[in-house]
Amino acid sequence: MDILEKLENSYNREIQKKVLAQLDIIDAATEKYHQEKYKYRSIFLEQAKPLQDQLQREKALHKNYKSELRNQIHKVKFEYKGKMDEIKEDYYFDLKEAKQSLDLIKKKIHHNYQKARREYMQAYASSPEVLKAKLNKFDQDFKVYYDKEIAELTRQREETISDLKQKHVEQLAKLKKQMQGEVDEIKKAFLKINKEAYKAEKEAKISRLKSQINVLKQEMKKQEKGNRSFLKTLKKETKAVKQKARSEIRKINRETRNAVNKMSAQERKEFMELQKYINEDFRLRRKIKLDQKEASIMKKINPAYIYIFPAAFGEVLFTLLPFAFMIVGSLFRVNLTNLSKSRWVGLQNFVMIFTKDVEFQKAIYNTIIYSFITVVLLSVVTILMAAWLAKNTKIHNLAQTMVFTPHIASLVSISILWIAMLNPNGIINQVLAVFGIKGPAWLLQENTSLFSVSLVTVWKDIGYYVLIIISGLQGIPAYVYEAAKLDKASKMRTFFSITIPLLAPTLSFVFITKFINSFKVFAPIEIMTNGGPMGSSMVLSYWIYKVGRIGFNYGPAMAGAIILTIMIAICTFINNRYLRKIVRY
Amino acid sequence: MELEKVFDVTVEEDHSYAPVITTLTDRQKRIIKIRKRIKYCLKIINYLLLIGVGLTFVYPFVWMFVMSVRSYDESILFSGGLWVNEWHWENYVEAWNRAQFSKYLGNSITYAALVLGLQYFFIVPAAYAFARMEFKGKGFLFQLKQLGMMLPGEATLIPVYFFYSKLGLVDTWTGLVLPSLFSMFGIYMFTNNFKTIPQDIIESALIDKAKNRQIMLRIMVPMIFPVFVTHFLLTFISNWNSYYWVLVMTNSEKLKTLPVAVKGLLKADGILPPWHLVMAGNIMQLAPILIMYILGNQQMKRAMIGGRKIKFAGGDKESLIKRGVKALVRKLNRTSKEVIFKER
Repeated sequence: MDILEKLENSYNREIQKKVLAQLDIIDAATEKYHQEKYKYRSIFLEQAKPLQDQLQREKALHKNYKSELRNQIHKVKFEYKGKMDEIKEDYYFDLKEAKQSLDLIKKKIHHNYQKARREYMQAYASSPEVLKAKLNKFDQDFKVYYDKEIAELTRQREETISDLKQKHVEQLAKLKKQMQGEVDEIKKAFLKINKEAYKAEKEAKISRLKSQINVLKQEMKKQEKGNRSFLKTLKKETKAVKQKARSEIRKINRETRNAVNKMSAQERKEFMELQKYINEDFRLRRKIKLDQKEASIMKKINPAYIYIFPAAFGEVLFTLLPFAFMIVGSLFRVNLTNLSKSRWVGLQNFVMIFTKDVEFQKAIYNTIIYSFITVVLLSVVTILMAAWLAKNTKIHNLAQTMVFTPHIASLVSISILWIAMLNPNGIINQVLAVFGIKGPAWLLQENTSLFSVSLVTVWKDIGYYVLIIISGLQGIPAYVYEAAKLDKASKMRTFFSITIPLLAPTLSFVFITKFINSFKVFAPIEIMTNGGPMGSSMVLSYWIYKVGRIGFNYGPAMAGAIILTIMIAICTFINNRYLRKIVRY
Repeated sequence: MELEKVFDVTVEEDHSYAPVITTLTDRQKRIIKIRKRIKYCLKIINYLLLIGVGLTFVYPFVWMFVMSVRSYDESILFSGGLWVNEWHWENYVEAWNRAQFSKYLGNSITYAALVLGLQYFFIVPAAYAFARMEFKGKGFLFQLKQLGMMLPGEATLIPVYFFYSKLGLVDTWTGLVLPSLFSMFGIYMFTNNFKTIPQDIIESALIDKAKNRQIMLRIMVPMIFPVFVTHFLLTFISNWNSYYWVLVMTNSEKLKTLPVAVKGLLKADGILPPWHLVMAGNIMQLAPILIMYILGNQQMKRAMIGGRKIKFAGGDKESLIKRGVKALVRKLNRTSKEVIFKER
């Protein structure tokens, strides 16, 4: 027997039908309530929709009155500019060809002249006097002939050039005239419209539409108000109906359970098997309902907003709000326990940190110096090392891997490691002692502390930047180097006049980004020097942390943070505006 | 020779590029041989130099290990050699106990697990919306992102800490994990990779009436699975190493992680820190990442330089991690196929 037939005639199906009937009652009740609730609103929407559409159209027209004209003119001008550029390009190409042809001819004549002289020399090698006379005669003849010929040729060339010029100017003038004509036509068409009247008319229309929509809205609201008490009673009724249906379902379930308990083992097994299908059916029904609900929600709002919500939330909480708070807070003396008691001090925070706070001045100076030292050292070392390590053999790869090791370790462990190594008795000084140099006390000395910290960060970052430059080197096509090889260029020459210029955009981008990033240096300073002996290695981000987080002076700390942001913004702006170039081979 | 012939421009015979055949003398042959030998020697010297330079970057780590098994009296001499008189393995136990490593290790693992487990629920939909959907305010959000790049966490520290203290998020896991869940870095990475998937595939799915959710989860996410692996690796490393955020946003010792604990060992007691213990702690903190790097250095390098193309010699040889990931992908593909089959 077919399973569907079996299912249709079974006890399970009977129960399901009963349950479905109850569910239908619930659905009908909710549907009725919803219809009653949104009756007037739906009527209003139906009536108001054409009006709203019209209103939006009118608004757009009113707004775009001037930009429409500008757009049309711009479009025409753009079209004609493209044509003009084409003509210009053709003209320059022709001109170049005409100019070069004479030079080519001259070169070839000279070549032939030298060849003829050589032939004379070979022919009269035995008698030098005859040769001298012959050559003299030949030279004189050649000069006369050459001048004549060249004069003729130059005249021809100038003629062709002047022809070309004239043609070009004519074409351009024609195009310009056409363009002007079209633009004038458009302007005329727009001038015919009376500006004031047009505006007034549109505004009147808009206000009329608005008032119509408002009237409809108010009517709807009035009706809804009158309907409110009825809705309340209806809500209670539907609730009662729903509860009743649900209790009915519960009852049916209880009955079935009892019935199943009374069944024999064979029957029960059969029942359970069929019940699986019934349950599956219920599950699918629920899923379809959920999908419908989702679709109805998605119709009302763009689903992108649900997807984007976390990102937007994060940006608001961690970028926008802090930024606003920072700008406002730097102008106050912030009271921590009670924000409303904070006192307005204007720019006094900035004045104070710039004139009285010696540590802050040192911090700004040190930050810039640190960035310069780091980037200059890093760029020189990495470019040389990358050129050296760029080959694709196993040993080079092993060296790359070894050089990259420090980059994966955390700044904390690297810093701790280097505190030991830069100890006055540490490894670095032991190595220096081998060469007979007495090393300084690195981190404990005022004039070397900042340099030592930058040395550590450079050591950590070399591997990373070497790999980046190598990947840039691998991006340069091989034919460029082959061309250089054909011209017999030396290795140094190839490096300085091919590799470096082709890599320059990448290099400048990478190292300026590094420059900006080293404004934010924190962990090595915090661990290795704590701002250093006598503030010699105090940097901005550590100053902000010390003043704001440990000292709880929010006003000055936020002023310092704004200075840091401005420094970064200036560098980013310069980078984006002037130094971003596209590589062309 | 007539003058007309000189001025006849069309005639052209030039042999300057013709090949020249010469026979080498014995002396020249010898010179070439010697040159070859010198080149060979130079090559070997170059290789030795390469290894030497590489060692200057690895040596400190080895030295750190050697320091960690020396006794206290030996360690404060800072001798740069790699020999040990007495092996003191108990340094590790002492460092573990003194810095309460069990607690901080638990914190580190919890922090990494929370971020790695939760972030994809937020990052992937946002990246999908940026890459494939049109909505109002997209340009504004993009500009905000650029502002966010100019505004480092070091500058916004004070306002964010203030908000946190007002919202009661200081010293809670929620507050610690929150910014990593919306990290711009991850959204940017996934957006770029979603954009590379051809439009045709998505259109064919749309014809089958697939929803956005299904396109995202069933089509796009399996297609860029390798990017997930890279991102997972990068976030794990950055979380394991993160210091600034944890230091700034926690007051009590309850939530501090391993890097902070190691720093605590350094500044523990007295004037001279117990260097043998500090190094032992440092080694323990570094160990997971170093082991990962030894197992799959090619993949790590490729992941860390982020999206750039690079070729390595012997890169074709598959590492342990790559093999494992491939097996995982194969398994996932099989299961996803089965699911689709069932629904039909």
